[in-house]
Amino acid sequence: MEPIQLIVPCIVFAACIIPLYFAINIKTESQRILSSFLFASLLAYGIHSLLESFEVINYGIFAKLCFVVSGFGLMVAYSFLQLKNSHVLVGGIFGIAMIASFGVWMAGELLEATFFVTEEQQQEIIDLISSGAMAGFGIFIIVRFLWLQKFVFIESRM
Amino acid sequence: MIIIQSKRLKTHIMSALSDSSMEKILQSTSFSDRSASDIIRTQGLPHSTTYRKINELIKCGLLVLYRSEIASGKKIAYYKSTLRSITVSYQGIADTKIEAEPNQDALERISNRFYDLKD
Repeated sequence: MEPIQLIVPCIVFAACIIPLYFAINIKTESQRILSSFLFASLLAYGIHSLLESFEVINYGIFAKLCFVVSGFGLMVAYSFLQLKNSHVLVGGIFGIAMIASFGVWMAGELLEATFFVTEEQQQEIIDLISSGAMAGFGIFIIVRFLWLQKFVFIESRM
Repeated sequence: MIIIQSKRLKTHIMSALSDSSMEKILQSTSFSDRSASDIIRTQGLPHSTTYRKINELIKCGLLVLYRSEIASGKKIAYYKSTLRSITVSYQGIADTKIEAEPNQDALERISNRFYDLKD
């Protein structure tokens, strides 16, 4: 097992805490739903990635599709909220980052699951690209939250 | 209470408090959300000044569009101050200290901006 296979899920699990924190503490229903979706999708990716790298379970197409569907659910929920809120499909940088990273992961998983890719080397490249995209998204979530927390008044408490 | 450390925010707070219209807007929205027409009526401010000052306060982060509702075909925006109370203490040689009590909506705003949803 390569270190990146362990580092990426760890980053994603760390990023999971932020939507969980939002889902628990925020009163606005739409944001709670979105946070829950984001939490579920990140958790699903993290678990999936760990199980796959430790080779605990030999994944079938169905399991992979389940994870892909959770990521897709997040995108649909986000797009629906954006349309309702501001009449646009993607509201800003968060939407772009999320759709790009989950899109790369979903495309990679679908390619692997549908046996278009048969060579092990090709599979490794796809895995690496997917992991890189998701790790980038995890880091983006953490950095964005910390930056916003500083920006929106919560500077230092007495 | 929080201690405001950002110099930019300190400047915004002090200039808002020194402007009587802005101060009145902040006062009327510090505990509950108010529409612009509510503010105009209760504080006796001119229409155009109120809307201009509201936009300035939103830009510097001291006021947020809290909610909006449609009443008789018109969209009415309700605003709320981001800070409930502010204490400014001038300490001579030392930096001026500003302490503020935020309205408990800070996390909601963080989440709104986090997801790029409109405030």
